[in-house]
Amino acid sequence: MRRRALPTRKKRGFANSYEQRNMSSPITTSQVSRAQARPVQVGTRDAAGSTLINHWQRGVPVYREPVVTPLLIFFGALAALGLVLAAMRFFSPLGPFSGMNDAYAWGIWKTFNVMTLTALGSARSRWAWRHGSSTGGSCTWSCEPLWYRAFFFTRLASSLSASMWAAHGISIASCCPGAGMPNRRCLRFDMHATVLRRLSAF
Amino acid sequence: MLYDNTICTGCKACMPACNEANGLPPDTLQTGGLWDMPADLNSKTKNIIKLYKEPEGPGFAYVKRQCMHCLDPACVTGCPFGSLKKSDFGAVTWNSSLCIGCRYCEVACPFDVPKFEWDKWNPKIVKCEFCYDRLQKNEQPACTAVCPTGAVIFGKRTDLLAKGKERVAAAPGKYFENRVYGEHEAGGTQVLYLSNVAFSKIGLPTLGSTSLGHYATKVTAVIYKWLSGPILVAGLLGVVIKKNWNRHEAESAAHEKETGLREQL
Repeated sequence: MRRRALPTRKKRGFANSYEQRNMSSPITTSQVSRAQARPVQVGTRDAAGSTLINHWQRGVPVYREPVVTPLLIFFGALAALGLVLAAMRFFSPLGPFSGMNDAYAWGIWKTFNVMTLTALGSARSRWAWRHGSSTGGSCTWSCEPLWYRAFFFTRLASSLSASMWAAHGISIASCCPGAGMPNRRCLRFDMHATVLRRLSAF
Repeated sequence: MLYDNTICTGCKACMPACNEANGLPPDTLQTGGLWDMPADLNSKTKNIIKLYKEPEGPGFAYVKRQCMHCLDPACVTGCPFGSLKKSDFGAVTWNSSLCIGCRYCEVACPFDVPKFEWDKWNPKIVKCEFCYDRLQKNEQPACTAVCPTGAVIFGKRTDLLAKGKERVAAAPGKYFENRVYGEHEAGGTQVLYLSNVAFSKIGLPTLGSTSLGHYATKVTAVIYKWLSGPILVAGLLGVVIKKNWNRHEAESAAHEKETGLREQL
C-alpha cells in the first residue's frame, strides 16, 4: 500500500497548500469567471504582501497552521483549572475562600480590579494597543478607519486571554490572603488557604 | 435614640433583646458554644455593649454600638442598586432583593456598621434597622424597650437632642466636651451619644459636619441630571463614529474600484 506523506509545517506567508506547491487553486468555474472579470488575479499578493485567495480584501494574511498545539493544550488545562476553582468558589462561602473579612471587605480584589484590570481593559495604553482589550478594541473599531479595523478581532481574542489570566491571578492570589492588606505588606503564601485545602482534599 | 454611658450599667439586656427581635443566632465563637459573647458588631450581632478601660487607672466606660442611622447615610449613597434606603422613622433599612453583595456599604460607612455574612453560601448584609417592623407597629426598638436603667431611650431626634443638651447643661464638665455626639457628625445622626470619656476612645470617630454622601452626590447630581452627561457623551461618540464610518466607506469604495477587491472585516 502506498504510504501518504505526512503533512509538513507550512511556510508562513502562503495561503494554502496549493500555493505552497506552486499549484493552482481548485476554484470553481463561477469563481474563475468572477476573478477574470476583475483586474487582480486570484492567488496573487497585494502591496502589503498578503495573499489574495479570493475576491475579498483580507486585512491580515491567512496562515495554515495547526490549531491544537502543546501550548494550547497547556493553557486549556490551566483554563479548566480556573473554571474548577470558579465553580468551587461559587458553591463556597466567600470569607474562608478569599480570606476577606469585615475589616478588609474588599481585600486585594477591588484594588486589583479597579486599578489594574480597568486600566488594562479601557485605557488606550501601548499595552492595550498591542495586546488588545475589549473596551479599547471597541473604541478603536468605532473611531478609527480601515487600518486599525483589521486588528479588532485579534484584540478581542487577546482580551479574552487577558481576562482568563486575570481569573488565574485571582485564583493564585486567593492562596495569599495577606496580599494587599495594610498590615501585611509582603506577599505571604498561606498553605492553609481554603483553596489549597480543598484542592488537597481531592 | 439617645445613649448616655454614664447611666449604662453594662447589663447587656439590650443584646439578647436585639437578637430575639431580629431572629439572630447567638455568637458563641469565644465561649465554646456556651453563650452569646460577640467581640464586636458582626453578622450575628446588630447591637453590642462594649467596655472601654483606661490603660492606667480604674476608669472605664460602656458604649452601645449599632447603626447610627445618619440623616444622610453614606451607605445609602454608596449602594449602587438602592438596596439600602432611608425609610420611615429615619431607619436605614436593607432590601435583600436588591443587594448584589458588593459590600460598598461596608466600605462607605464611617462607623463600620454594616457587616457581611462571610460564612454563608448566600450571604446578606447585617445591620441594625431600628427594629423597623416594631416601629411600624408603634413599638419601640427592642433595645430601648428592655433597657432597665434608661441609658438608651427612644424618641424624636429633636426631642432627644434637647434632652441631651439639658443633661449637659445640668452637669457642666460631666460629659466630654459638654456636647452631644451625633448632632453634627457626618451631617447628623439619629443615634446620639453622651459620654464621660473622649468619643474617640469609645470608638466614635471624629468627623466633620458635612455628610460623606454629599461629596459624591454633589458631583453625580450634575453629571447625571436628566441623564444629560451620558446622552451628551453618547451623542458625541455617535458623531465621531458616523464621521469615521463615512470616511471609511469612501476609502473602501475607492479601494474596491482600484483593485476590484471587496473589503472583508
